[in-house]
Amino acid sequence: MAEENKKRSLWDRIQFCDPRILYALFAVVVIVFEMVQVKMPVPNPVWVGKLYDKVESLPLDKAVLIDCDYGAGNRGECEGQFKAFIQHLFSRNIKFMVVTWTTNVEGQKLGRQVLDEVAKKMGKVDGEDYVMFQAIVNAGGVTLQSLAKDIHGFVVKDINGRDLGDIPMMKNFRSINDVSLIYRVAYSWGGIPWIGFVQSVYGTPLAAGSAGIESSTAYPYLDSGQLCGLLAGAAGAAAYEKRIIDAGITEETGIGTKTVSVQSFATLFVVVSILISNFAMFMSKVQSRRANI
Amino acid sequence: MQKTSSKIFWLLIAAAVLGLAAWGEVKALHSPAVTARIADLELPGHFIYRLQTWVAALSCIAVYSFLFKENPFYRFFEHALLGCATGYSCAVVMRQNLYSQWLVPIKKSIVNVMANGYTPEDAATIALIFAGVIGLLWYFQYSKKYFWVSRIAMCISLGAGAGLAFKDTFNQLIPQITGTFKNICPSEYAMPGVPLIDRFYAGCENAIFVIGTVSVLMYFFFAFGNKNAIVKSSSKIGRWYLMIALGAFFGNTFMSRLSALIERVHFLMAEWLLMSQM
Repeated sequence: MAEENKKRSLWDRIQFCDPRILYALFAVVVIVFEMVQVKMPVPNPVWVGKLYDKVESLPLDKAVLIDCDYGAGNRGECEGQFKAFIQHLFSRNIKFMVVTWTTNVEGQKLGRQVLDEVAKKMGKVDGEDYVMFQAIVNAGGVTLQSLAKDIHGFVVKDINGRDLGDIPMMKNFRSINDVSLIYRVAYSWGGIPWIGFVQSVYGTPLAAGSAGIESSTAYPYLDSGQLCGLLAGAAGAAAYEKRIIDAGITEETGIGTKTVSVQSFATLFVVVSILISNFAMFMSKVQSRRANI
Repeated sequence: MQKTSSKIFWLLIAAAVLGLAAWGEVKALHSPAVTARIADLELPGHFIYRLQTWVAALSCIAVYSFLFKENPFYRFFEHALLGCATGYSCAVVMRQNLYSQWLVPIKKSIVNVMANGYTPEDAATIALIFAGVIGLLWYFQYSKKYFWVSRIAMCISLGAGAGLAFKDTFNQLIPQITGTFKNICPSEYAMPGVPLIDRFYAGCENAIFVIGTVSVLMYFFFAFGNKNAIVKSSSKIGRWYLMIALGAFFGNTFMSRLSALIERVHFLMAEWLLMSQM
């Protein structure tokens, strides 16, 4: 084995290097830039701006319905999107209801943690400024239709076990007609058929925050006007965070901005690795051709 | 010899990480950021917070250790995660659905009917009993003899599912189809007040969109052979569009996975080792 390695040229060794070495180098890059925290320019996608403007124009007498369906695997992207969005709602005194599903109980746990933390910092009260419902059975269209028609009839209690009728905020919000915007934050923006059963039927505007991997599928819906805004991946979260910082809503740099800066250097590392390995492949081919001559 | 040196190397790495973790623990005792975090999370004390941070950190390292090689440490945490996730889901479904949204409302309505007489709302709530009974029919799948009973529940689910899917598809797709009708040569009448150069750019964008839609549809059009020159060339363009789209998908996939890694590294560095800003 050792002799075989000796026979291999440098270019061959680069091509056939142990992937674990790459993992280790990659980890080092991520750790170093996590510790150093270089400030990188934050992107400014059009659809983030549209969502921000939409929230700015929302009436105060209607509520926003947030579908919080992210999990531990996509917390890095979705938590920033969720946090920045609720900070914006709180700053405008817009009341909101949070829906979670039994198919993803992580969403409830993670969402509640962020919600309580932000509410405490911004002096907002559970039940007066916001409410999180108990997890709902995800039966697709049936669930959404029932929820849209009669929130009180369909969702019995909030996360703290209080009846919806006893919650002060919920007295004014009874159906989808009292909702000015639906915002779904999840790994997959289309996982719950809000477009087919609510947006297209009642005309309630729908926006999404989604993991980068799923965001590509959202663009046709943005173009057709079925979605009114999109926060795509960590970059979307960072862009929204920048907007709320610029507006003076918060001074804190969010997780989205931090992720984007590390992401830039990690991506650079991968691009350089791809270039080096391709160059190595090219050089080893040249060498073998020369040896054959 | 090589194996021994490799073992020593990994032991040194483990010792260094443990050393950093111990140092982090000392720092955590006097860190204002940790105190603020404990207050934010409303935890009973420092010990509980650090204990849950350690459990999370060890689980995280165990899962990433799979990248090095398959090992019992990874296996243990993989099974622990599956068990915890299943148990937690069951608890939420039992507590927040079956109990709160099914059993309690039925019980309330029965009490109401007995005390105040019949109302349509109470009758509708009591009818939820039948939904529960139909749901229970699924369990007949475990019996060879009475398997057929579960088909009643299956038929109801499939029938309702098909009808809903039909509605969902139409409601989603019709605006998509009308959204593809784009003006490739927007006049001043179509875009009033927009300068000529901007209208030209908008026209170019729309043209790229329309060509893409038509050519990709042609690529998936199998009704007649692609010997026809128009079909052949447009499906080739469609193929290029698809390749670009798949490249974009791949790029986004990488970014998503990277974000997940960065979030975990941030947790390990900031919350566990206290080596970066929380």
